[in-house]
Amino acid sequence: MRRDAQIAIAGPLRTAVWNWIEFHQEEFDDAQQHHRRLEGTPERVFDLLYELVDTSNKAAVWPALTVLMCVSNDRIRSEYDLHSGGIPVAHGRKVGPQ
Amino acid sequence: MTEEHQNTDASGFRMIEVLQSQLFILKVLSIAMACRWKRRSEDGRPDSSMGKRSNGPPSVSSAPESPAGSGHRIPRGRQASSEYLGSLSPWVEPSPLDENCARYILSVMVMFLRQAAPPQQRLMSAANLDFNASYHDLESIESVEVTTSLDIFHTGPAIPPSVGSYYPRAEATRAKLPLFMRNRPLHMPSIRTAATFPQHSVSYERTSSILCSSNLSMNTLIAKFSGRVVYHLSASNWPVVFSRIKGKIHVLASTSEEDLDIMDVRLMTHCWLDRARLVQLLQGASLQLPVVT
Repeated sequence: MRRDAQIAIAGPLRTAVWNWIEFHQEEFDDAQQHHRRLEGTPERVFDLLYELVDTSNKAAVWPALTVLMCVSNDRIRSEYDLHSGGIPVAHGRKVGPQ
Repeated sequence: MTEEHQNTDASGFRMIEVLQSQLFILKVLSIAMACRWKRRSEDGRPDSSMGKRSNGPPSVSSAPESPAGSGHRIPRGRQASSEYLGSLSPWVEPSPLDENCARYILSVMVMFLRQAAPPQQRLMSAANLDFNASYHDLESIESVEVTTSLDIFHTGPAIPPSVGSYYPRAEATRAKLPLFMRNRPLHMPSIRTAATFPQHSVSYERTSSILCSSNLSMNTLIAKFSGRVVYHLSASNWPVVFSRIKGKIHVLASTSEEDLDIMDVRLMTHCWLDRARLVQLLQGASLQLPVVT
Protein backbone atom coordinates (compact mmCIF):
# COMPACT_ATOMS: atom_id res chain seq x y z
CA MET A 1 0.00 0.00 0.00
CA ARG A 2 1.22 3.43 -0.79
CA ARG A 3 2.52 5.41 2.13
CA ASP A 4 -0.07 8.12 1.90
CA ALA A 5 -2.78 5.53 1.86
CA GLN A 6 -1.32 4.06 5.04
CA ILE A 7 -1.43 7.47 6.66
CA ALA A 8 -5.00 7.96 5.53
CA ILE A 9 -5.88 4.79 7.41
CA ALA A 10 -3.81 5.51 10.49
CA GLY A 11 -5.93 8.48 11.55
CA PRO A 12 -9.32 6.78 11.69
CA LEU A 13 -7.73 3.65 13.12
CA ARG A 14 -6.43 5.68 16.01
CA THR A 15 -9.85 7.14 16.72
CA ALA A 16 -11.43 3.71 16.50
CA VAL A 17 -9.03 2.23 19.05
CA TRP A 18 -9.55 5.16 21.41
CA ASN A 19 -13.29 4.71 21.11
CA TRP A 20 -12.87 1.10 22.08
CA ILE A 21 -10.75 2.01 25.08
CA GLU A 22 -13.16 4.64 26.25
CA PHE A 23 -16.40 2.79 25.79
CA HIS A 24 -15.42 -0.74 26.54
CA GLN A 25 -13.25 -0.12 29.52
CA GLU A 26 -13.94 -3.49 31.02
CA GLU A 27 -12.70 -5.19 27.85
CA PHE A 28 -9.64 -2.97 27.88
CA ASP A 29 -8.91 -3.85 31.50
CA ASP A 30 -9.32 -7.48 30.65
CA ALA A 31 -6.96 -7.18 27.70
CA GLN A 32 -4.37 -5.55 29.93
CA GLN A 33 -4.42 -8.37 32.41
CA HIS A 34 -4.39 -11.33 30.08
CA HIS A 35 -2.35 -12.39 27.12
CA ARG A 36 -3.33 -12.15 23.51
CA ARG A 37 -6.84 -10.95 24.10
CA LEU A 38 -6.53 -8.93 20.92
CA GLU A 39 -4.76 -11.79 19.16
CA GLY A 40 -1.63 -9.88 18.42
CA THR A 41 -3.27 -7.58 15.92
CA PRO A 42 -2.23 -4.26 17.53
CA GLU A 43 1.37 -5.41 17.52
CA ARG A 44 1.17 -6.33 13.88
CA VAL A 45 -0.34 -3.05 12.84
CA PHE A 46 2.17 -1.19 14.99
CA ASP A 47 5.06 -2.87 13.22
CA LEU A 48 3.62 -2.05 9.85
CA LEU A 49 3.03 1.59 10.67
CA TYR A 50 6.38 1.91 12.39
CA GLU A 51 8.09 1.78 9.06
CA LEU A 52 6.52 5.10 8.24
CA VAL A 53 7.93 6.86 11.24
CA ASP A 54 10.99 8.35 9.69
CA THR A 55 9.68 8.91 6.24
CA SER A 56 6.44 10.68 6.94
CA ASN A 57 4.78 13.49 8.77
CA LYS A 58 5.06 12.58 12.43
CA ALA A 59 1.72 14.06 13.38
CA ALA A 60 0.10 11.59 11.05
CA VAL A 61 1.58 8.43 12.44
CA TRP A 62 2.69 8.90 16.02
CA PRO A 63 -0.77 9.16 17.62
CA ALA A 64 -1.79 5.89 15.99
CA LEU A 65 1.42 4.23 17.10
CA THR A 66 0.89 5.52 20.62
CA VAL A 67 -2.56 4.11 21.05
CA LEU A 68 -1.60 0.80 19.46
CA MET A 69 1.18 0.50 21.97
CA CYS A 70 -1.31 1.23 24.72
CA VAL A 71 -3.35 -1.78 23.80
CA SER A 72 -0.37 -4.06 23.16
CA ASN A 73 -0.25 -5.47 26.61
CA ASP A 74 2.53 -7.99 26.08
CA ARG A 75 4.89 -5.45 24.63
CA ILE A 76 4.31 -2.85 27.26
CA ARG A 77 4.94 -5.33 29.99
CA SER A 78 8.20 -6.53 28.53
CA GLU A 79 9.34 -2.97 27.85
CA TYR A 80 8.35 -1.98 31.34
CA ASP A 81 10.21 -4.84 32.93
CA LEU A 82 13.20 -4.14 30.76
CA HIS A 83 13.42 -0.51 31.68
CA SER A 84 12.57 -0.69 35.31
CA GLY A 85 16.19 -1.44 36.07
CA GLY A 86 15.86 -5.18 35.94
CA ILE A 87 13.97 -5.31 39.19
CA PRO A 88 11.15 -7.80 38.79
CA VAL A 89 7.92 -6.00 39.47
CA ALA A 90 5.09 -7.76 41.22
CA HIS A 91 1.91 -7.76 39.21
CA GLY A 92 -0.09 -4.64 39.93
CA ARG A 93 2.50 -2.95 42.03
CA LYS A 94 3.99 0.28 40.86
CA VAL A 95 7.68 0.96 41.15
CA GLY A 96 7.95 4.35 42.78
CA PRO A 97 11.01 6.53 43.13
CA GLN A 98 13.40 4.97 45.58
CA MET B 1 -24.23 47.19 -0.06
CA THR B 2 -27.49 46.10 1.46
CA GLU B 3 -28.56 44.69 -1.89
CA GLU B 4 -25.35 42.72 -2.25
CA HIS B 5 -25.83 41.34 1.21
CA GLN B 6 -29.38 40.39 0.35
CA ASN B 7 -28.37 38.65 -2.87
CA THR B 8 -25.80 36.47 -1.29
CA ASP B 9 -28.17 35.95 1.54
CA ALA B 10 -30.89 34.73 -0.77
CA SER B 11 -28.83 32.04 -2.46
CA GLY B 12 -26.97 31.26 0.73
CA PHE B 13 -30.23 31.02 2.61
CA ARG B 14 -31.61 28.48 0.20
CA MET B 15 -28.63 26.33 0.82
CA ILE B 16 -29.14 26.73 4.55
CA GLU B 17 -32.73 25.63 4.30
CA VAL B 18 -31.65 22.48 2.52
CA LEU B 19 -29.10 21.83 5.23
CA GLN B 20 -31.68 22.42 7.91
CA SER B 21 -34.04 19.93 6.32
CA GLN B 22 -31.27 17.40 6.00
CA LEU B 23 -30.39 17.89 9.63
CA PHE B 24 -33.96 17.40 10.72
CA ILE B 25 -34.30 14.16 8.82
CA LEU B 26 -31.03 12.90 10.24
CA LYS B 27 -32.12 13.74 13.77
CA VAL B 28 -35.37 11.86 13.36
CA LEU B 29 -33.58 8.90 11.80
CA SER B 30 -31.00 8.72 14.55
CA ILE B 31 -33.69 8.83 17.22
CA ALA B 32 -35.66 6.11 15.46
CA MET B 33 -32.60 3.93 15.31
CA ALA B 34 -31.71 4.69 18.91
CA CYS B 35 -35.12 3.41 19.95
CA ARG B 36 -34.32 0.01 18.53
CA TRP B 37 -31.80 -0.65 21.24
CA LYS B 38 -33.31 -2.46 24.13
CA ARG B 39 -32.20 -1.64 27.59
CA ARG B 40 -30.72 -4.46 29.52
CA SER B 41 -32.48 -4.65 32.86
CA GLU B 42 -30.74 -5.38 36.12
CA ASP B 43 -31.31 -9.10 36.08
CA GLY B 44 -29.99 -9.44 32.58
CA ARG B 45 -33.07 -9.99 30.52
CA PRO B 46 -33.53 -7.45 27.75
CA ASP B 47 -36.28 -5.14 28.79
CA SER B 48 -38.24 -3.90 25.86
CA SER B 49 -40.86 -1.97 27.78
CA MET B 50 -38.82 1.19 28.00
CA GLY B 51 -38.78 3.70 25.22
CA LYS B 52 -40.67 3.70 21.97
CA ARG B 53 -40.30 0.81 19.62
CA SER B 54 -39.97 1.68 15.99
CA ASN B 55 -41.54 -0.54 13.38
CA GLY B 56 -38.90 -2.23 11.35
CA PRO B 57 -39.60 -3.89 8.00
CA PRO B 58 -41.70 -7.03 8.35
CA SER B 59 -38.80 -9.26 7.41
CA VAL B 60 -37.01 -8.40 10.61
CA SER B 61 -38.15 -10.47 13.51
CA SER B 62 -37.48 -8.93 16.83
CA ALA B 63 -38.14 -11.14 19.76
CA PRO B 64 -37.69 -9.03 22.85
CA GLU B 65 -39.10 -11.67 25.13
CA SER B 66 -36.49 -14.30 24.48
CA PRO B 67 -33.54 -13.88 26.77
CA ALA B 68 -31.56 -16.54 24.98
CA GLY B 69 -29.94 -14.47 22.30
CA SER B 70 -28.82 -11.49 24.19
CA GLY B 71 -29.29 -11.81 27.89
CA HIS B 72 -26.31 -12.14 30.14
CA ARG B 73 -26.24 -11.72 33.83
CA ILE B 74 -24.71 -8.48 34.84
CA PRO B 75 -21.92 -9.51 37.16
CA ARG B 76 -21.24 -7.63 40.35
CA GLY B 77 -17.72 -6.49 40.89
CA ARG B 78 -14.74 -7.17 38.76
CA GLN B 79 -14.58 -10.90 38.79
CA ALA B 80 -16.47 -11.16 35.51
CA SER B 81 -15.11 -13.76 33.20
CA SER B 82 -14.33 -12.61 29.71
CA GLU B 83 -17.51 -13.88 28.15
CA TYR B 84 -19.60 -11.62 30.34
CA LEU B 85 -17.69 -8.51 29.49
CA GLY B 86 -20.03 -7.44 26.76
CA SER B 87 -22.91 -7.44 29.18
CA LEU B 88 -21.67 -4.55 31.23
CA SER B 89 -23.03 -2.00 28.82
CA PRO B 90 -26.59 -1.07 29.65
CA TRP B 91 -27.90 -1.74 26.18
CA VAL B 92 -28.47 -4.76 24.06
CA GLU B 93 -27.56 -4.52 20.42
CA PRO B 94 -30.53 -3.99 18.15
CA SER B 95 -31.60 -6.73 15.82
CA PRO B 96 -30.27 -6.43 12.29
CA LEU B 97 -32.09 -4.51 9.64
CA ASP B 98 -32.67 -5.97 6.24
CA GLU B 99 -29.28 -6.03 4.56
CA ASN B 100 -30.13 -4.07 1.44
CA CYS B 101 -31.84 -1.47 3.55
CA ALA B 102 -28.78 -1.19 5.78
CA ARG B 103 -26.48 -0.89 2.82
CA TYR B 104 -28.58 1.84 1.34
CA ILE B 105 -28.73 3.80 4.58
CA LEU B 106 -24.98 3.47 4.88
CA SER B 107 -24.45 4.86 1.40
CA VAL B 108 -26.66 7.81 2.17
CA MET B 109 -24.84 8.46 5.43
CA VAL B 110 -21.47 8.33 3.70
CA MET B 111 -22.82 10.87 1.27
CA PHE B 112 -23.86 13.17 4.09
CA LEU B 113 -20.58 12.72 5.90
CA ARG B 114 -18.71 13.52 2.74
CA GLN B 115 -20.81 16.61 2.12
CA ALA B 116 -20.24 17.86 5.63
CA ALA B 117 -16.59 17.01 5.96
CA PRO B 118 -13.72 19.39 5.26
CA PRO B 119 -11.46 18.42 2.34
CA GLN B 120 -8.75 16.96 4.51
CA GLN B 121 -11.15 14.32 5.72
CA ARG B 122 -12.49 13.48 2.31
CA LEU B 123 -9.48 12.97 0.12
CA MET B 124 -6.32 11.03 0.64
CA SER B 125 -4.05 13.70 -0.79
CA ALA B 126 -5.51 16.44 1.36
CA ALA B 127 -5.29 14.30 4.46
CA ASN B 128 -1.61 13.84 3.90
CA LEU B 129 -0.83 17.43 3.20
CA ASP B 130 -2.41 18.90 6.23
CA PHE B 131 -2.81 16.39 8.94
CA ASN B 132 -2.76 18.82 11.82
CA ALA B 133 -5.70 20.78 10.54
CA SER B 134 -7.99 17.80 10.92
CA TYR B 135 -7.96 18.24 14.67
CA HIS B 136 -9.30 21.76 14.55
CA ASP B 137 -12.69 20.90 13.27
CA LEU B 138 -13.06 18.34 16.00
CA GLU B 139 -12.85 21.22 18.42
CA SER B 140 -15.53 23.09 16.58
CA ILE B 141 -17.84 20.14 17.02
CA GLU B 142 -17.14 20.28 20.71
CA SER B 143 -18.26 23.87 20.98
CA VAL B 144 -21.42 23.17 19.03
CA GLU B 145 -22.23 20.31 21.34
CA VAL B 146 -22.08 22.60 24.36
CA THR B 147 -24.80 24.87 23.13
CA THR B 148 -27.11 22.03 22.22
CA SER B 149 -26.88 20.34 25.57
CA LEU B 150 -29.97 22.07 26.94
CA ASP B 151 -32.63 19.59 26.14
CA ILE B 152 -36.11 20.14 27.41
CA PHE B 153 -37.81 17.20 25.77
CA HIS B 154 -37.30 14.29 28.08
CA THR B 155 -39.42 11.22 28.00
CA GLY B 156 -39.17 7.87 29.63
CA PRO B 157 -38.10 6.79 33.05
CA ALA B 158 -34.89 7.86 34.69
CA ILE B 159 -31.85 5.64 34.49
CA PRO B 160 -31.34 3.50 37.52
CA PRO B 161 -28.28 4.99 39.19
CA SER B 162 -26.41 1.73 39.39
CA VAL B 163 -26.33 1.35 35.64
CA GLY B 164 -25.21 4.89 35.02
CA SER B 165 -22.50 4.88 37.62
CA TYR B 166 -20.51 2.00 36.23
CA TYR B 167 -18.79 4.18 33.70
CA PRO B 168 -16.77 6.84 35.48
CA ARG B 169 -17.22 10.34 34.29
CA ALA B 170 -14.88 10.87 31.41
CA GLU B 171 -13.76 14.32 32.41
CA ALA B 172 -10.85 14.26 30.12
CA THR B 173 -12.67 13.39 26.92
CA ARG B 174 -10.81 15.22 24.32
CA ALA B 175 -11.42 16.43 20.82
CA LYS B 176 -10.04 13.23 19.40
CA LEU B 177 -13.47 11.68 19.86
CA PRO B 178 -15.68 13.97 17.87
CA LEU B 179 -19.04 12.35 18.25
CA PHE B 180 -18.68 10.63 21.56
CA MET B 181 -17.57 13.60 23.48
CA ARG B 182 -20.27 14.96 25.58
CA ASN B 183 -21.76 12.82 28.24
CA ARG B 184 -25.32 13.87 28.08
CA PRO B 185 -27.86 12.82 30.62
CA LEU B 186 -30.26 10.37 29.14
CA HIS B 187 -33.89 10.76 30.12
CA MET B 188 -33.06 13.23 32.84
CA PRO B 189 -33.62 16.97 32.87
CA SER B 190 -30.24 18.58 32.32
CA ILE B 191 -28.60 17.09 35.37
CA ARG B 192 -25.20 15.70 34.59
CA THR B 193 -25.15 12.13 35.71
CA ALA B 194 -22.28 9.81 35.17
CA ALA B 195 -21.08 9.15 31.66
CA THR B 196 -23.79 8.07 29.29
CA PHE B 197 -23.94 7.66 25.61
CA PRO B 198 -25.30 10.56 23.62
CA GLN B 199 -25.91 8.29 20.67
CA HIS B 200 -28.64 6.57 22.60
CA SER B 201 -30.58 9.68 23.36
CA VAL B 202 -34.17 9.27 22.23
CA SER B 203 -35.17 12.81 22.88
CA TYR B 204 -35.18 15.34 20.13
CA GLU B 205 -32.29 17.75 20.43
CA ARG B 206 -33.16 21.22 19.41
CA THR B 207 -30.66 23.38 17.65
CA SER B 208 -30.58 27.06 18.46
CA SER B 209 -31.51 29.46 15.71
CA ILE B 210 -28.08 31.01 15.81
CA LEU B 211 -26.52 27.74 14.85
CA CYS B 212 -29.20 27.11 12.28
CA SER B 213 -28.12 30.09 10.26
CA SER B 214 -24.51 29.08 10.04
CA ASN B 215 -23.30 26.80 7.25
CA LEU B 216 -20.41 25.57 9.31
CA SER B 217 -22.55 24.63 12.29
CA MET B 218 -25.07 22.94 10.06
CA ASN B 219 -22.39 20.85 8.44
CA THR B 220 -20.96 19.99 11.79
CA LEU B 221 -24.31 18.88 13.11
CA ILE B 222 -25.11 16.95 9.96
CA ALA B 223 -21.82 15.12 10.38
CA LYS B 224 -22.64 14.45 14.00
CA PHE B 225 -26.04 12.94 13.36
CA SER B 226 -24.91 10.99 10.33
CA GLY B 227 -22.24 9.60 12.58
CA ARG B 228 -24.88 8.53 15.05
CA VAL B 229 -26.82 6.70 12.37
CA VAL B 230 -23.62 4.94 11.34
CA TYR B 231 -23.10 4.04 14.99
CA HIS B 232 -26.50 2.41 15.17
CA LEU B 233 -25.99 0.70 11.84
CA SER B 234 -22.67 -0.68 12.94
CA ALA B 235 -24.34 -2.19 15.97
CA SER B 236 -27.20 -3.77 14.12
CA ASN B 237 -25.55 -4.60 10.80
CA TRP B 238 -21.87 -4.82 11.45
CA PRO B 239 -21.06 -7.05 8.44
CA VAL B 240 -22.46 -4.43 6.08
CA VAL B 241 -20.44 -1.61 7.59
CA PHE B 242 -17.31 -3.69 7.98
CA SER B 243 -17.34 -4.92 4.41
CA ARG B 244 -17.57 -1.35 3.22
CA ILE B 245 -14.59 -0.28 5.31
CA LYS B 246 -12.62 -3.34 4.32
CA GLY B 247 -13.46 -2.82 0.67
CA LYS B 248 -12.14 0.70 0.75
CA ILE B 249 -8.95 -0.37 2.50
CA HIS B 250 -8.48 -2.98 -0.19
CA VAL B 251 -8.99 -0.40 -2.92
CA LEU B 252 -6.45 1.87 -1.26
CA ALA B 253 -4.01 -0.98 -1.15
CA SER B 254 -4.33 -2.15 -4.67
CA THR B 255 -4.59 1.03 -6.65
CA SER B 256 -1.92 3.49 -7.59
CA GLU B 257 -4.29 6.33 -8.20
CA GLU B 258 -3.11 9.60 -6.84
CA ASP B 259 -6.16 10.77 -5.05
CA LEU B 260 -8.97 8.75 -3.60
CA ASP B 261 -11.97 9.46 -1.53
CA ILE B 262 -11.34 8.11 1.95
CA MET B 263 -14.72 8.72 3.53
CA ASP B 264 -15.42 5.02 3.82
CA VAL B 265 -12.32 4.50 5.92
CA ARG B 266 -13.46 7.25 8.26
CA LEU B 267 -16.57 5.23 8.94
CA MET B 268 -14.61 3.30 11.51
CA THR B 269 -14.47 6.35 13.72
CA HIS B 270 -18.21 6.20 14.18
CA CYS B 271 -18.66 2.52 14.80
CA TRP B 272 -19.66 0.67 17.91
CA LEU B 273 -16.66 -1.56 18.48
CA ASP B 274 -16.28 -4.36 20.93
CA ARG B 275 -13.18 -6.44 21.19
CA ALA B 276 -14.10 -8.93 18.49
CA ARG B 277 -14.82 -6.19 16.03
CA LEU B 278 -11.71 -4.26 16.92
CA VAL B 279 -9.68 -7.36 16.23
CA GLN B 280 -11.44 -7.77 12.91
CA LEU B 281 -10.66 -4.19 12.01
CA LEU B 282 -7.02 -4.40 12.99
CA GLN B 283 -6.72 -7.70 11.21
CA GLY B 284 -8.13 -6.21 8.04
CA ALA B 285 -5.76 -3.27 8.30
CA SER B 286 -2.73 -5.45 8.95
CA LEU B 287 -3.45 -7.57 5.92
CA GLN B 288 -3.56 -4.63 3.58
CA LEU B 289 -1.01 -2.28 5.08
CA PRO B 290 2.26 -3.80 3.91
CA VAL B 291 3.96 -1.61 1.37
CA VAL B 292 4.06 -3.21 -2.02
CA THR B 293 7.30 -2.34 -3.77
